[in-house]
Amino acid sequence: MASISLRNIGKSFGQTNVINRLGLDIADGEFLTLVGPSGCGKSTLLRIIAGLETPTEGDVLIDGKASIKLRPSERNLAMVFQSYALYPHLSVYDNIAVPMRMRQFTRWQRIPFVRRLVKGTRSVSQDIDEKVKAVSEKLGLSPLLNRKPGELSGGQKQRVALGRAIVRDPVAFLFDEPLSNLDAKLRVHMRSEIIDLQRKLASTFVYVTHDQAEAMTMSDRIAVMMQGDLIQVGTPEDIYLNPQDLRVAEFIGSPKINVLSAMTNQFGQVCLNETPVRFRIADESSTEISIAVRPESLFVCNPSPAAIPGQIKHIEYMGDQAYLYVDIEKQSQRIIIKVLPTQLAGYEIGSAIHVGFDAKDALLFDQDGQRIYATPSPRSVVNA
Amino acid sequence: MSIHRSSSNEAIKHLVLIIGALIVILPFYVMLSYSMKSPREIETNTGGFFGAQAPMIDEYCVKLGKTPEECTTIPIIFNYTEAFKKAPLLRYLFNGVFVTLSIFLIQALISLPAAYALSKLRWLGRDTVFALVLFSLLIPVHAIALPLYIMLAKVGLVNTYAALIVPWTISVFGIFLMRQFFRTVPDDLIDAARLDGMTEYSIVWRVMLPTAIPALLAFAIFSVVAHWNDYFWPRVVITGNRDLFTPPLGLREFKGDADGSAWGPMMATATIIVTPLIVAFLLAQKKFVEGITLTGMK
Repeated sequence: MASISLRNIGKSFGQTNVINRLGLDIADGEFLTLVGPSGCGKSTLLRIIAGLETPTEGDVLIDGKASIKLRPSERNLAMVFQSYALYPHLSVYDNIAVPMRMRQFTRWQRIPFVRRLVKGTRSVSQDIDEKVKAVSEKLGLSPLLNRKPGELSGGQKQRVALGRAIVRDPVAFLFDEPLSNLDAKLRVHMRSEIIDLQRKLASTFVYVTHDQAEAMTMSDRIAVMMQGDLIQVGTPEDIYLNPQDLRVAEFIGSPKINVLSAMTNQFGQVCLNETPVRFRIADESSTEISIAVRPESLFVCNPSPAAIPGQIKHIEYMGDQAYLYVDIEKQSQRIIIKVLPTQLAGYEIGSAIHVGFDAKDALLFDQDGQRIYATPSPRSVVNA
Repeated sequence: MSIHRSSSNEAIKHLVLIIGALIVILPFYVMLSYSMKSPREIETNTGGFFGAQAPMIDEYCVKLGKTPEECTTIPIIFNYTEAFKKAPLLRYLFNGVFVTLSIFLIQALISLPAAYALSKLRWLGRDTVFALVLFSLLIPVHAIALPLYIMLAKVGLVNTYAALIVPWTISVFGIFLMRQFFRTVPDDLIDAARLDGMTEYSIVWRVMLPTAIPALLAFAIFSVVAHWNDYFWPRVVITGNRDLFTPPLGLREFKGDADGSAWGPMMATATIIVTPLIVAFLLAQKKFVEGITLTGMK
């Protein structure tokens, strides 16, 4: 069990910066998810923690100890890979036993047949055998111990990979998109298995994924990365409700957050399609800003001067909920409204409707995508 | 119509293949047939494939002063016993096995780590080294035979096993073949092994080698066949000491003596020499084809 601290980590391949000097503290026993679109540097960061990649600058502290010079095996971390990375020629038992053998056997004991001639092999072997059996019991792998990885399903392979990781009691676990190769149903199931495992082991988990749903459901804290920058770190709730950057707001949440382009006038009033919306910002100059509203915060309302007129272009019925896709005049992005299926009556494709939202649900971002805060007027429903 | 055309196409294809096969098989047919016939049948070209197997008198035996009754044998037995009697064929076969296996083992020992370094490690100059490997593939053995011979002679290794083995221990073909195969091994597997505590050498022997068995087997066949059948190099570096003769050199024992060429025993020897290769190929045929297709070599 250990905390992990990243200090000023930077990585570039030739001229290309993959990670721009970032710092991050991961607490002991924490489940931290690194999330971001593909190519944002999250996997590289994980590989730097693991020691598989050397950063161009900065240091990794594991339990307060500078570890950048340590080889991967000396850091005592375990990693689970997207492709499972099981040894194809070894049985499930041997796959789980390998990390133990590499650590506990001496050089001569590692050589098959020779090991029988070396003193003390038997007690170490028994020790390893007990550990492997206990771990496979825990993961429900006992009936599969003699199989080769080629004879296992994706979920079983993933469990073997987990077993290989936990068998040697590492100080922290690293996961590199471990569920991406599984089908949707199994993925949801394995999610809860990994969360259970983390609770049982009370160990530090660093989990890389591009799937925001995984990040939201599994983590204690989420670290969002974009283009090599660490943009925001916080609890799932914090990241969802309080994104500090437009890119974070757009990345987290499904369906995507609605972004409306708006202007502020010289009084600090925010105007949507030239209509002042009843909140203002501190900066009293006229600039372009973005208003971002989650689909569940939008609603269909009665026509009024402040309501936003639009036209339904598409209706998505999901059973327990429904989404209206609405085109709005002078807005390039189509917006999505989440409604209850019972509210669908009377709407069809082509219907003209009015859309409103509560000012407290609106997130404002400046031109650079940085979060800005509004000072809502007393009666702050847009369509009021 | 289209079925008809494609079937006649197939027929033409098979015809061409059959003709090709015949051309390749014919020398083996002659070899096998001669190895069973009496000298008279070989000279007069009679006796069909198996020969009449009529009792014959070994004239050399008679010359040694024995009675004709004592020297009467059946051609097939005469040819094959003569193959072992006239030259120390067992010794030659042992030399062949020893030399080819030594060459292959050392080649594997060198090409596996080299291929690993060229395919999976990042280091300065890797591409240049790989280009050199490719370049070396283009150099024919015969072009460097003379300098090699001189170097071996200078260190006093001519007429030793070392002369037969050492020049072949670094196989650029092996390095190239294994490198191509290693590139298909996922990087994650190697990273997992590193986290499991393996050193780079352990990775080569414990992870890469077991996954590369089909490719290594394909290379083994190439290497063993080439060096088992090699006549040129042993002829160059083994000058006189018959104890070091490899099987192809052994064939010379039957050629052009004062009492004429002993075709029957010679062909019997040839048959004995090629048999191990054919058996080995048949046993490993499936893996061999697998290895060749995996590595994309044709």
